[in-house]
Amino acid sequence: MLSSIATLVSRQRAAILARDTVGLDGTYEALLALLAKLDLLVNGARGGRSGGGSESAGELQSLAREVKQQIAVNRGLLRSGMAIADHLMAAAGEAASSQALFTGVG
Amino acid sequence: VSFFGINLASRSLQADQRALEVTGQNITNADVPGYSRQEALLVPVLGPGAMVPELAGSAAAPGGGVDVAQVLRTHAAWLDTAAAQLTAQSGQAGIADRSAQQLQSLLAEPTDAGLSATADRFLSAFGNLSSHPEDPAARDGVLRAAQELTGRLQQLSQGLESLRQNMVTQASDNMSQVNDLAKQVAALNGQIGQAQAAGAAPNELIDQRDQLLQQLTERTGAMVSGQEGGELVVSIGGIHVIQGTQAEALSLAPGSPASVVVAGTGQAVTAPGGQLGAQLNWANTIVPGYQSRLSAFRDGLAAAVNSLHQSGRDATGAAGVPFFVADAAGNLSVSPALVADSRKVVAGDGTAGNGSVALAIANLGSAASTVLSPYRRMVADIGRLASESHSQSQQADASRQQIQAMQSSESGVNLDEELAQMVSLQHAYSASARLLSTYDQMLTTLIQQTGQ
Repeated sequence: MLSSIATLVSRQRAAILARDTVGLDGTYEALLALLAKLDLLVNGARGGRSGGGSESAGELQSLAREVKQQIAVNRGLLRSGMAIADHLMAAAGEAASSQALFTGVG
Repeated sequence: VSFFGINLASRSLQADQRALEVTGQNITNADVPGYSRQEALLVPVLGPGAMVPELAGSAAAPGGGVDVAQVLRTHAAWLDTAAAQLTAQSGQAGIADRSAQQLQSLLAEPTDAGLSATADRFLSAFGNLSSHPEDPAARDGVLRAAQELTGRLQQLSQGLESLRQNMVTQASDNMSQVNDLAKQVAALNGQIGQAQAAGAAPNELIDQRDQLLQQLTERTGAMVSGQEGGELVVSIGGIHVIQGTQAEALSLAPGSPASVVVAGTGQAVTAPGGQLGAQLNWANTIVPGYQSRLSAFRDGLAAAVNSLHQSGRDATGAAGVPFFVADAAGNLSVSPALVADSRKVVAGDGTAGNGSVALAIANLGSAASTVLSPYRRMVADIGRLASESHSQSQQADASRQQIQAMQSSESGVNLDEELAQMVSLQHAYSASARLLSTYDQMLTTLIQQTGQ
């Protein structure tokens, strides 16, 4: 399951960089679907079960760290993209004499 | 984060920033004429995962992120070709229109100051003399009207020559501008070539060069080839005036008819188009054509009047002398002998009360006579030319504006489109960021739980 998340996060990165909103929406939906399973896994780990079948706690922890690192990269990219896009939208809004739109950083 | 992770993040951030810079560039230049919208072409970079045959190409293969491979300039080459043709036509039609309007203003027809009215007054004065052959005031009236006619003919003749010379001057000024533009294009070719050799995308320089080429085309009807890669060649009348970084200077050859030559070699540039083509056409063909027609009319009128005038006898009983005399350039004036003594103006056969000759001269203005018809045809032709030139110029301008609008929609920046793209991107970024934040918290919990 964590491998699936890692793959989706990798796809999400490509979508972020390509500024592909459709791709971003697709990975968002897929990650959202896995969120419930991750919740189960976290609760299972809390109850002393790995939830990963043959995976040991150490392996699970290592894999979780790796996914967390990948997520950190994507979050960095998203923050940077949003900051620049906010600035550009303000410029474009001013140029088009229409109200500029701002979004918060998640 | 591993070294690979840091490297990937760094490269990806740079790519992302570059892509957004391109959008910023588009927004900043939205109102700049000739600016072509740019797009960042993002390509995936192979990471270590791609080296593992089992993983290569699969979603599981860790990639190397993306890079901006190229900043593409959104531009349609076919529109450039169509725009160049229409620009040259518009330049040509604009000159023809303005010149035809000048020509029509010069004729001042049909007004009291026009040659038709002046000639009518001259012939009417002879009609009055035929009714009152003994009246000295009628003879003076003929002389005054004749001087007014010769003055008007000379004024028209000088006006046409001035228009022709003005066209030559305009062509010469145009040539200086063309040489200047050619130098700038050749210099830009060098800069573009250097930038491309270094792997850069000199899109702004290409836009700048396109603007200059458009001006060059409007001025000369230049043909451009090699814009989409390869060496750029600009030809005018079959001569390569720009080849890569080399520009040939053009000049007007001295003498008449006005012609364009390559300044260095003297090689003739035949049939340039655009404004230059129109200026040369008016200087060498159209205005001289009307000059010939005016001269033919003037000479025909003088010959007919002189012939009749010499057929009679004046008030002193002497044989009639030529009424008009011409100088070396063909300009008419009233015979000095008549100006000195108005009795020498012939009214008839010399017998008392006879006004037959004056009547015959007055009848040159009748519908049956062909003496005035060459000028009337010339006035009608110039009127038609002015009307057609104006209509063609308006049509050419409309076509040019249409093609420029097409170029603008193809290459120009649509702020609404850029904004809409930004908004949807921001929504997607924001939603994904919130989700990742949740994932991060859950993974932190998982790590903590499994570490206990």
